[in-house]
Amino acid sequence: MDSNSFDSILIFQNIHSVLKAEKILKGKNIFYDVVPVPKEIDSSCGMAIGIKSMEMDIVKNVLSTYKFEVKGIYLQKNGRFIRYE
Amino acid sequence: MNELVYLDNAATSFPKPEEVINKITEYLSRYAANPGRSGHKLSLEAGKLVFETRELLSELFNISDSSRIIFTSNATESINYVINSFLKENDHIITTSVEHNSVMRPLRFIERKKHIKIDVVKANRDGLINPYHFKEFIKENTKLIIINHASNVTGVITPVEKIKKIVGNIPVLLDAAQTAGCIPIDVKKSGIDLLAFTGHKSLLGPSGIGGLYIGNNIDFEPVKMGGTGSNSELEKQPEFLPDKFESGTLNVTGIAGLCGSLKFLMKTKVENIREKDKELSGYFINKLLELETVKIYGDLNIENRVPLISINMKNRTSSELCFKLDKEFNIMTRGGLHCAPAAHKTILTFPEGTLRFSSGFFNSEKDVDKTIEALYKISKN
Repeated sequence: MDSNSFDSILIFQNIHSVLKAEKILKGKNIFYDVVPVPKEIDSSCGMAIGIKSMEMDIVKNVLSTYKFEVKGIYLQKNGRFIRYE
Repeated sequence: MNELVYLDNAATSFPKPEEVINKITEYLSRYAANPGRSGHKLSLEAGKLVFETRELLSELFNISDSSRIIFTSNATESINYVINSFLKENDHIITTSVEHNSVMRPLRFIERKKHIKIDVVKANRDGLINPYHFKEFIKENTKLIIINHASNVTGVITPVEKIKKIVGNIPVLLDAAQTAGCIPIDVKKSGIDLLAFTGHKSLLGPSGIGGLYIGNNIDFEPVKMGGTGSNSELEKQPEFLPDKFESGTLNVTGIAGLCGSLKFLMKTKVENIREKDKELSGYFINKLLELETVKIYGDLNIENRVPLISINMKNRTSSELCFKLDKEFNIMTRGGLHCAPAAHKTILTFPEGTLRFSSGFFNSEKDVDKTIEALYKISKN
């Protein structure tokens, strides 16, 4: 899947954090994938996690349980990802 | 020619598990891209390999945050990072008399350069260290305790847990070059603050890959800086781990091999390897004790030893023995000083050295029998 399959994108400080977040989300019945960072978002490690915005709170909760730091959250608006927090 | 007997596993383990060769081949033939540098599929595959290897290491050593494990080329590089960067002018450190030159050489260098004060806890002639002796040397400015987890000369294990209890909050750097993969290591239970390990000895991986665990309470400046694939817009080195200490493209081929060997170790279990090692060491020592011309060094209690045994034979030098075993019997060992003059001074075998047999997971009693027979023949010639 690519980033356009998702309406929310979570970015992290490095590839290690992306893959750690993926490991945490695995098996939690959440729709997500590791996707290339959309071109309008500046994150040099190249990878991000795409999720559905309706599951945003669940994802944030799961990650915060593991004291996991998300560098940025972006929402898709009119075909572009805009910084949400 | 006799069938090859490899008893030099303390130098590097051989043979390697099939998993090591398969994983290296898989990486090089299918996704040998640069991890964490791009958004394409192959870079992601390579990134996943590096991540998985770090997670396996954290499981093996009971480390809760795998980002605090950084990849280096070997234990020597890991130890050098700590000694050269963590220690500052006029600090005091305590180490032991059974350290390898990977510790003593950088220590003696900064002793002069940064006026570091070094106290050495002496092991006895059997290579045993009394943990209470550390207490006598603790000063207000003691910054670090450096401990060789097991001597590469005597094989004797240092009681790190007991030492940590005695030194309290002073950080401990454990040199696990001879122990990672052959005795269980639990950084939480043992209170280890810095763990230096290499991939190519008992972890059974390829050479050129090792690592350093850096505890939450430890911080120091990176020795090298550069591209990390993160924060690329900034000319400032990232502060977060592992990126802070991992500039430049990693040795992913080595990491792939280590990933394969860690999977083998997880499946086999270090506890089982330990039991097998103890059994074979006990068998080996008992057979050596039957040879009148042979002297064995170090405490003989197998509970206190990793599977390596140093000996000398009457009227033979260790290098002569090593040469004869190789040329005449196809048995690989190591003679001399094993890059650890301090340890040899401790057991009074300096400067002549010893002959070291170091077995590994793939050795058997048959290998020991052949070696004993060879030693017997040499002693009679």
